[in-house]
Amino acid sequence: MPERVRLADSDLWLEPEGEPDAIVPGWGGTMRDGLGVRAERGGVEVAITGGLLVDPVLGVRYASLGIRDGRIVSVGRAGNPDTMDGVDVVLDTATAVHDASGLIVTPGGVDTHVHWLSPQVADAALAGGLTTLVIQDPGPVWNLGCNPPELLQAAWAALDAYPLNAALLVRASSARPEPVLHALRAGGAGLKIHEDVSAGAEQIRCALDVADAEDVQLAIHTDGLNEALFVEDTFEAFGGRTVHAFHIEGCGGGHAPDLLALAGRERVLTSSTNPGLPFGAGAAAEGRAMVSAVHLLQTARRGGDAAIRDLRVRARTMAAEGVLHDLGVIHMMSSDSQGMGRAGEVVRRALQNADWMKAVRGGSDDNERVLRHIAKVTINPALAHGLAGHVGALTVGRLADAVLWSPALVGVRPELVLKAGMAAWGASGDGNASTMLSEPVRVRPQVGGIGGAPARLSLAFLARSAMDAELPTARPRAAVEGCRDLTAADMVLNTRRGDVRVGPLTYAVTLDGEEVAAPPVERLAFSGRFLLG
Amino acid sequence: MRLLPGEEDRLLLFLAAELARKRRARGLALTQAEAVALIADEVCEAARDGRSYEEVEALGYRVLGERDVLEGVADAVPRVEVEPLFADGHRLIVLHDPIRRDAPPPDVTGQPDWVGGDAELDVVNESDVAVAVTSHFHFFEVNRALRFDRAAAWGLRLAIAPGAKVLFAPGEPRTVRLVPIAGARVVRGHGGLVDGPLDAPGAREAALELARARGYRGA
Repeated sequence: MPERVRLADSDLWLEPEGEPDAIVPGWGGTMRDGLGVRAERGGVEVAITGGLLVDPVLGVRYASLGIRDGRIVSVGRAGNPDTMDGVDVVLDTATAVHDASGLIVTPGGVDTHVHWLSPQVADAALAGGLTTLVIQDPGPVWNLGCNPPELLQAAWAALDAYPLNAALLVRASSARPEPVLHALRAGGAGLKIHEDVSAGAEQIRCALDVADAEDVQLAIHTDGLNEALFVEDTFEAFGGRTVHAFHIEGCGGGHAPDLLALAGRERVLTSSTNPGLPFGAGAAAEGRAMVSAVHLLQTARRGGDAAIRDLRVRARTMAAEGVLHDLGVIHMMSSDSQGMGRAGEVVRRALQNADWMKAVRGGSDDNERVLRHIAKVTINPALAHGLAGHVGALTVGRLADAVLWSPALVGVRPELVLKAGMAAWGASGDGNASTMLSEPVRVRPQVGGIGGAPARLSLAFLARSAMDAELPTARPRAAVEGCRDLTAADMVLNTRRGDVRVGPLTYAVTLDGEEVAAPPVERLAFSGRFLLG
Repeated sequence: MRLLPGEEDRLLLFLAAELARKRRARGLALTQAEAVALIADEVCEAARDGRSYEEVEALGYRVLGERDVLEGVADAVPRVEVEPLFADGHRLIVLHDPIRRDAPPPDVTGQPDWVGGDAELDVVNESDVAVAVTSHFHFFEVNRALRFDRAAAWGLRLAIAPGAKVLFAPGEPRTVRLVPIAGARVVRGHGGLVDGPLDAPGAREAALELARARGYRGA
């Protein structure tokens, strides 16, 4: 690899630490019994060797990963300690090796805003480098949550076909705890309030009581109509308790025009959905069409619909959002798949925002900027929903959910998506061919993605009180935990606090009194130079 | 038609290539996916026209140049593999860097560079076939037909990049450079003369004795 690594066609250039490992597979390579791999056992079960890690915790560095029981057990130089110095990841003659030489290795992405309205969302997510989904609306269904238990059961049964960790959010738009607890304990892992099914102060307080008692996160889409609450009333209803505020800019829904004022506060974990990141030339126009289509507005037939749409789609707050991400004020990015966002573009949009922010705001530390943006789609959403003991980074103890990318196509097309160390999705071609990569090469299920493999390799995240629920899934289970004490200070590489304000008439955004703005991007990197359409 | 899966794949490739052709006809530079599809499809059709393997491979490098594609695309197309149906059946064509290159890259000839290595040793292959030795093999116990001072090669390997090979042609003397095997210096497998710690007392002498008994030249 060259000294600096360019990310696709962007102006982002990584400067890696360390040297690539010299484990060479193939005829006459070093990956042979007694040479580069130990002749006796003592090595790891699976290794990812020679790659360039781009990880929010481990940084930008060349390192191999050792894996046992689907989890990372070692990070560093790979090889045979019998014949090589400084070996951290012991390979033996039985170790299965994923050669990542020349490739970038990122943690599998974590998308906490998935309307799983159609199963194809899962395919798009995997092909986009996601390995953990926090799901609502297994459907098609109009639900905004995964209630009731019958639907939760169906969702878990269906999910076993996909090599994705999953957590289901149950609908918490309820002023009474019983319906919420009923669903949560039947197989949920968190709560969701959505204004389309009510987001008033009573529902917020009740949901947070449940969240506190059950140690789960509350994700909230606030009252965009300001029908019962202003943004500060919503904040007051939180009562100083931690929440995850969805699509914080507001085009995705929530207090108009000033939902963004919740960003920068101590106990509001904030995420964005992806069509507006970075703010593009067509974003506002698209936003109007999208709001109407997704939220069932009839702007040509029903009074008031056009007016609320226009209050919700604001170019100036949209233009500020990407900058607030670059500053680390907003913590996470997600898709809002099929509910005003794109499941396959979570990682890509994060990198695109990093690239556009470099163009607009300058700066030379691309490593830091890229890592900050990668943290938004990996470790931070994992933390926010209590999943971080298992996913979100490639550190020891976590699942070996990793994505291998060619640098020239990073964020565009993965080479291989590993689930618990196994090839789950990735590039392969004509099955009759004499090589694996004969055209037409497509990104699609691999051995870890078919038959009974996906469920074996994927976790069912559950609220602690749902861990013993009877569920039609073969997955191992993991309890979500640590959701309630989180603050903005826990959001890796995105800890900037500040006073965000939105001009009530101008929609101008300020952070600590300074205007926050960026021009719309005309041409994105990681996109039109590669994709067919 | 009773199409087989591979034929369905061929249709997918054709469709993507047709899209690329139409866009190209509108004067557009191609994206990565368009470029790969067009190159692979043209290669397949050249085989369908009855051209030889060599002609088809050469054509693959002439389909597109850098000015036909968008910036960054050539980097993203380091290799195209496709299996056209020739008169003698499916044959794999591999094109390396086909947008930038007009022809296959020339082979690297000659021996690999030395990477450090203080110890020098003269070696000759006394067999009548070539012997290739790789970077991490315990040189002491390489093929018995190589004649060199075996004792001097104890605990050493070739001072070449990982995965590189030095070829010893029959009868051709060659001087090699060697570096110590690192780590705990335990050799298992390899030529089967050691199977244990290199630095154990008496290990070298025992291995030399075994080597002599098994006819290793220079032991």
